[in-house]
Amino acid sequence: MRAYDEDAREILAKAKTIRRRNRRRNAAVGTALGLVLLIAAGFAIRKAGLRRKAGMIDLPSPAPVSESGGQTVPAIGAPTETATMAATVPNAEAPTEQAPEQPTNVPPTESPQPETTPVGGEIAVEKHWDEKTAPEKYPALQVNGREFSVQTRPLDPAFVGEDLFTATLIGQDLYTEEIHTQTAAAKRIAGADPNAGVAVTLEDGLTYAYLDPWFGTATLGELISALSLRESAAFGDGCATLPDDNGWVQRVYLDFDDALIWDALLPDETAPNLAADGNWENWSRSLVGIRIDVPRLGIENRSLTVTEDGHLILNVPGAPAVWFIGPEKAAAFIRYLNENVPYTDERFAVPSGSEAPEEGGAPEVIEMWSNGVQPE
Amino acid sequence: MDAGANAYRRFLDGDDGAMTEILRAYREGLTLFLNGYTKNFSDAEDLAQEVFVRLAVKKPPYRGDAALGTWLYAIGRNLALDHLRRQKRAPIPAEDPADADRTDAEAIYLGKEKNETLWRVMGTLPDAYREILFLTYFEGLPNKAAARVLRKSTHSVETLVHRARRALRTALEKEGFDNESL
Repeated sequence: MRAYDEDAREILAKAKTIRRRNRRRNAAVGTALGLVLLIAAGFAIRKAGLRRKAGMIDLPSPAPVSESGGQTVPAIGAPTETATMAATVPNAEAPTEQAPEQPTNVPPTESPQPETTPVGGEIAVEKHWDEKTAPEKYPALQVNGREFSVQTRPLDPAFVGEDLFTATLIGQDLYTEEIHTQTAAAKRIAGADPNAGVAVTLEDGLTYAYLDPWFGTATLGELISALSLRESAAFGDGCATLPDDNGWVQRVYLDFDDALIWDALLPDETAPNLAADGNWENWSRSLVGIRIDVPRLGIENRSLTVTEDGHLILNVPGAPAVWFIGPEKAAAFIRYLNENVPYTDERFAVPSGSEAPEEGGAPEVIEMWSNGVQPE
Repeated sequence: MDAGANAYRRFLDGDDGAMTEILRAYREGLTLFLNGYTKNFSDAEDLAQEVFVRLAVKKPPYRGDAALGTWLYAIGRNLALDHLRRQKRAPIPAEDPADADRTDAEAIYLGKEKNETLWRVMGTLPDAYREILFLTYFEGLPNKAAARVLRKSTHSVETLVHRARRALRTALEKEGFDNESL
């Protein structure tokens, strides 16, 4: 066998080469990610411009939080909040099924796009109006100047309550840029603050939730209470992305006990919502994202994210709210997961020229069972 | 603290020269362990070197004497299983040009005659028994650490150790040894 010191030198040289390659690759991935974000931002701006040009709505801005914890918006049924917003809303009183004419404040439209062309460079092909499902036709609802967004999962009628007010549903045919409006009864969702969301029965006979994505509260406890999350939220798998020598490992934690989340991550209901000041982007690396569904509100596949520096980010009902639990609790939680919750690892290799792994970037799935439970 | 763990702490502190001592502490044992999977000593040597390269790249935090061995053997086992999967797709001749190296490694690692006998008899046992005996008897890993390497529960490792020892005892008795200490 060769001498130890000779092998040690070779190992250290190889390690140095790999570290240098990883740095280059990470820089390339960062550049690619930046480009994707730029393209996405460009598309969002273009889409917002189209909607504004069509006189439909103004985009909502992050909701300020009042001292009492609720948003500084009037309660459902109160007079319209701002003149500016009211001026841009199509005639909410007109009970038109599909408005044949555009609202008077809509400027003349440009020539329609060719029928088979995806709109605005979207990756997904925009459906024609007649092909859309009911919630796809009417993705938004105007309430006192605020826009509520539809959740495409129908609600259980058992959780739909009395009528609250008549709502104006808004949709747009992006091929013709024609605005469609429809009035419908907005109903109470059991256990949910009407300022956060209401239920509306659409033309397909099913009832859907329309939620205010910017509904915010000052404390965690207020959010839990406003949406009855203790009774209605269900947590699913957790997912973490871990760095690996030749790429990354996607770890999925299975069989979460919801009580663990409530006890370990969400026990402090007085925790303030740090996103209330609009500065919710500066959190460190995500340690794990846990799926959360709220069937009663039609919410599916949102996430509760735990970051390395001890923040929780929860995007229910829409915009992220941020709570601080401290890095020690976050680390302890991850430690608990690794030691007690079964997980699977899926390894992704990144091809890198001649040094590409033999798999050529195809994911390699390795089953791991941290608590020793072997698959049948 | 054993020499390998001590060297690793120095390596983490920036002393690249400590890699030589880490190799001295772990290389032969790891290579012999991996040879149990590859049945080809050259491949086992290459895989062992790859494990040490990964150690030098990742530099996992120091967590105690047994932890470094556990990390090395767990990574080594993963690499060996990957290697076997690749080999299944493109089988290569089973010739082993490094048979003399294997003998050297065994001599360095086993040291005592009693261990050599054990090693030889262990080679006749099923892979699962040989694997667990290697980790717990030769490497001295606690059952919990061996369980992490083998991705099994501590309970199933304890059962495996019990059965492996019983099989080894039977095999030793057939060879004419009376080893009550096992």
